[in-house]
Amino acid sequence: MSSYGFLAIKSLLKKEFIEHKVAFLYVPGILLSLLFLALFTAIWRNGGNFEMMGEFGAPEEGVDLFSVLYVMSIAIWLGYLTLMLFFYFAGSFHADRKNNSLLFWKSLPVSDLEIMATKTLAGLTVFPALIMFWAFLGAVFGYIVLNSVGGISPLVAALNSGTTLWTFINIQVSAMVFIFFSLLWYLPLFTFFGLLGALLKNWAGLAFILIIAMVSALESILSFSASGVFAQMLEDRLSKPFEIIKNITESQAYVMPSNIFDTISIANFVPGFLSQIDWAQMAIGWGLSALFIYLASEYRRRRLDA
Amino acid sequence: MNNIAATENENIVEAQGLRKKFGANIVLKGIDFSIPTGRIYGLVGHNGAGKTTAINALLGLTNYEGKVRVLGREPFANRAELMADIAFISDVASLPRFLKVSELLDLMGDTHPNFNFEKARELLLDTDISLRSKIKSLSKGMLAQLHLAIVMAIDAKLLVLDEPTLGLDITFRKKFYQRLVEDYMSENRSVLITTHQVDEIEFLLTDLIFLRNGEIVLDSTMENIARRFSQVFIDPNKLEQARQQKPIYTRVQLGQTIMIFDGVEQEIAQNLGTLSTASVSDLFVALMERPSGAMENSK
Repeated sequence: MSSYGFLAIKSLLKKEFIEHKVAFLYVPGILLSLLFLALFTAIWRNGGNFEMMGEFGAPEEGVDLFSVLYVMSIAIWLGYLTLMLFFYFAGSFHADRKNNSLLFWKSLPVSDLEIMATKTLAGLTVFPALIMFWAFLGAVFGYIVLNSVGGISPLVAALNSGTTLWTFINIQVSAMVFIFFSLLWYLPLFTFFGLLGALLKNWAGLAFILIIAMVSALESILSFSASGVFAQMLEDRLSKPFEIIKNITESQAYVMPSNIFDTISIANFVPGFLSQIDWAQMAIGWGLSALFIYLASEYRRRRLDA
Repeated sequence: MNNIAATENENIVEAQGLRKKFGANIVLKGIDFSIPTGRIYGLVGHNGAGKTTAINALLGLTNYEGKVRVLGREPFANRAELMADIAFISDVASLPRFLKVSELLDLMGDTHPNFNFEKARELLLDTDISLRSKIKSLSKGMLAQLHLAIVMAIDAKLLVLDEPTLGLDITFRKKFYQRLVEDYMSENRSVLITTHQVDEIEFLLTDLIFLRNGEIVLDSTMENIARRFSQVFIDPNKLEQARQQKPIYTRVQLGQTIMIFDGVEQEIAQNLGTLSTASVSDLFVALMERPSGAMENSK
């Protein structure tokens, strides 16, 4: 690391944030605002009609519904984060070449490898944290909405703030652990996408799909099998975190849909999730990621043009 | 001419057999040169002569063949470390457009150990650039001013300026060069500067390198150039006598024949007509149009 060490890392992380704040700060903020604006408008305009909904079932416990909605919102945010991170890695690994700015970035006493590693670090910390911030804000607004609905509809009971806070903390911490380790698990895919972005710029997405499809097809042809080792490894890599979630929920014999979420607890989820991670595969993934980052940085080291 | 003299024998830059090719196109043909401390070097050549490639090699921005040492280090392998002691401006606007000016200064302050935030801010006070401006909203001239303020605020041992005043008006160009000599230059620093407006930088140069088609055709101190080259407004009656001295360049201006001689003694030159000092631009034209290849260095 350069002589400025952590100060330089902090500054480069801030630079990544400024460069990509539209995707991770503005757009989620706008989406969330629109969603809650629509919800409040619906409550305000149809407040009286919520009472009729009570005919369709027993009054819902407020915390149960809060848990269900919050976990669902986190799943949606996770999907958004994953999609944006793929775009981020493919884009940011070559973004410094825009408008000849590579010459400026190379005038700083920071190596290409340090810059690429910082970009990866931003993808693993700054942007997931921003999305978790929006999930948190969504939970706060969700609490307000549910309390509003609870006041006018027999379908939803008003929330007890102490119980809700405890539920919120459990879900939030469990989600953070899940997202962080899932991102580490998916890191080789992100960084491979980033490497392709560095090499091929906007063609990275197409190249990514083509490479995976071609390797899988070649393997199938050579092995006379529908699913070869590579395809299996890829499937495992993609599905593992969600398999663990499935295992945890099944092992704890939760019953859908009424109380699966209300008993999510840090004490159950975090050790359960961490103990089922295939750490050997995780380490292999980190090794591959380091290789992809290094290759991208070496390519960057040899580039000057836009 | 600037009288800053090297106080140390140590060279900031050493290049031996520096060669660079792009495919079949050889851009630098194994050039040798060195830059001691406390000197201001002008690197002059036509477009495509290899100036920017040579600079990129010195800055570690491109790989090359040959031996190059900058501040004792091999540049391509040690670019990041070197950049702590080097400041440079490329020949194209390269500042990141998504940042605000204040964010750029913060970034420089956090990543560059030798960057002086306050000095940069002071330098910007002389311009119309606001710290709150987005870089993408700045004009071409303002971009150049901002970049110059940033490099001038770096306490570097080597300042490399590749066409630094491109897009700037004459007032700012003069001010910048004046400031470069008065405020920035010291015996511990060297500057390497390329520009097409050679006459504007002539007064500040201590040394001059002419590059033609990837080869050095002149590498000399300004003192030696003044001694070695003479420009004579030839007496019409002595034209034949003058031609016998093998001028390296001849032109006719308003009926007056002007010749530039290389290595002709002053007494002889004076006898041929009115003697004057060849400007860098005259010398440039003279040497670049010479059919022969590289000349000897005259250090």
